[in-house]
Order: sequence, then structure tokens, then C-alpha cells
Amino acid sequence: MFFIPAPVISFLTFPGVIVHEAAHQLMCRVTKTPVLKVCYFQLGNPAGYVIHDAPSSGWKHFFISVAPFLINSILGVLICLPVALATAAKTSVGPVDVLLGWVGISVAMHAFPSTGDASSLWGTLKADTTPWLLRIIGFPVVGVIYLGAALSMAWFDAIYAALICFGAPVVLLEMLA
Amino acid sequence: MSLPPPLPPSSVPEPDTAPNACVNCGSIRFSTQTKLPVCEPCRASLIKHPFPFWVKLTSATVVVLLLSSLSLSRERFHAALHLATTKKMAKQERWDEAYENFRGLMAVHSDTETLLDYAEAGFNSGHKREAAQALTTLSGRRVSKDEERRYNTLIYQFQLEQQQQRQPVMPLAPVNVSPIRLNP
Repeated sequence: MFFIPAPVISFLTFPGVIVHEAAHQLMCRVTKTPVLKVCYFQLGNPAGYVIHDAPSSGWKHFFISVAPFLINSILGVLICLPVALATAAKTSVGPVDVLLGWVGISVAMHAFPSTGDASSLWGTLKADTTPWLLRIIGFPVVGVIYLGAALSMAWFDAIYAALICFGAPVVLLEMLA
Repeated sequence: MSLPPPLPPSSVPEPDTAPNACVNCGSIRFSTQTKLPVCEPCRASLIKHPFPFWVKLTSATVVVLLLSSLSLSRERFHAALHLATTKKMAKQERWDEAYENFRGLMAVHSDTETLLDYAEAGFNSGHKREAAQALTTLSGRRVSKDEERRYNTLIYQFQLEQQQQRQPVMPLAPVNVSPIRLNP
């Protein structure tokens, strides 16, 4: 397996790390959860983090945990869209496309929540007060996060980014054609 | 990564000496809505934890990129959809429609796959001279196995037709498999 140290990947894709942590913080603000400390980017492990108070409900905790997945995925796809369309239309790409492609892929690569997110969500889901619906939704989500983290050794985050940024528009075009 | 408490080092209470005042402002009235050793005004200010200026600047840059991306996508979407629709026509063997569409696309597309699509559509819709011309432009290109197979199939169809008619539709000599090189 082609191995690149995590800090190097984080450095090369730093816009994604910043968006990831900002998404956590934004959702903390939306759910009125106190934030104690935010690190948007560092050359270490983890590349960034948000330390916040325990949310007042399990649902709030769930949305704080999965916010980067939604925000990074949507932003990544939209920023990369002209590059994907140019590729699908087999037209040439310019320097602006290279920039958009790099930012889009970087953002989408950091969509998956970390194992830290998963473990804190796991703790909330196990609590007696957690609603059953949240458990039904939350436990598979935690499982998928752990699976994604395990597969990240096999470039899963990059594969996911490529699939949603370049595969999804092509599938959409095929459906519309 | 989003972490629940523990608190950051600056505000972590000593394990054996529980704070008796807000760790932030010293107020003795703790907030009842959090287990953090902070008063209600300080809890409210933590909810509105500020985004640093450089993060706001980065966010603004991302928004600008997003807007320019959407603007570019709008133009390119129609081109990509047109090509996808034309390829679908060819797949469904609607050769006449496919040929007309490909003919319009040839002004902007010169990639091997689209040229082969155009040649196939031309051959099957009776525009054999145009199809042969498209094939001649492929000479010397590096092609994939699949593209080579499609090329050879078209050449074979041309040769078969020439044999049947005993009259060449076009001079086939320049269109030969040999100039096409495979990817290394």
C-alpha cells in the first residue's frame, strides 16, 4: 500500500481540515452548545479539533458529529463540479479548474468524521436517555465512521472524494441524458 | 474532530478542589444549564465562541470559489449533457440523430473516444465518407485496448462492405490498424 504520513496529507489538503472543524463549530453554535477550544489546523494528529460542552440532547450531539460529513461533502461536490463537468464533456481545463479541483477534493477528503467524533457519539448513544430513533440511526452511522477510519489506510477518504466529486456528476448526467 | 469534555487545560478544574466560582470571570453564580464551572453569561459567550478573522477570510474565499464554480458549472453543464445525450443516442442505435449531434460536437471535441463514436454513428447512418475521414484522423494516436477494438471493428465493416460492393466507398489505404499504437 502506498503510504503517505497523515500530517503530509493534512498539509496538502488543509482547506478540508479547516472546513471540517468550522462545520463542527458552526453546528455547536446552531445547537447552542458552548465551545471551549477550537484548533482549525495543526501539523499533528489530530489535524484539528473542537472541544465543546456536552450537548443538551443526543440529537444535538449527533448533528455536531455528522455536520462535517454533510457540509464537506456538499461543498466539495459543488466546488469540484465544473472540473467534473469539463472532464465529462471532454473539454480542456485551465488553472482555475486546477484550483477548484484541489480545493474541492481537499474539502471532500475531510468529510468523514474522525474516530474521536465516533467515540464521543457512541458514548451519547449508549446513554439511557437517548431516544430509540436516534439509536437506530446513530449506531450504523458510528459503525460507518469506524469503517471509514479503518479503510482510510487504504485511501478510502481519497476514493470517497473522487467518487462524490467526479463519479456523482457523471451518474447524474447519465440519468438526465 | 469534535470532542466532548474534558475541558481545555486552562479551565480544567483541579480534581480535588472543585471550583467555587466561575473559572472565566470569578462569579459565584454557576450556570444551571451546564456542568462546566462557568456562570450563565460566560456560558452564553462560549456558545458564541468567535470564529477568528483568518477563518472568516478563508470562509469568504471558499464562498467566492463556490460562486465561481457554480457560474462555470452552468456553462459546462449544457455541453456535458449534450455529449451524454448524444452518446446515449448512439448506444440506443439512433444513428441518424446521433450522427447529427456528433457532427455539431466535432468542432469542440477531438478526443479519440468521441471521434470513434462519430465514426460509428456516421457509418451506421450512411455517412460513410465522413466516418472514414474521422478514422483517418486517428492515425498515430495512442489508444486503449477497447478503442483499438472499436477501430478495428469499423475498419473490418468498411472492408466487408467494399468486398460486397466490389467498389470502394473511399480509399482505405491510409486507414490502417498499424499506425495506431497501444498504450505502453
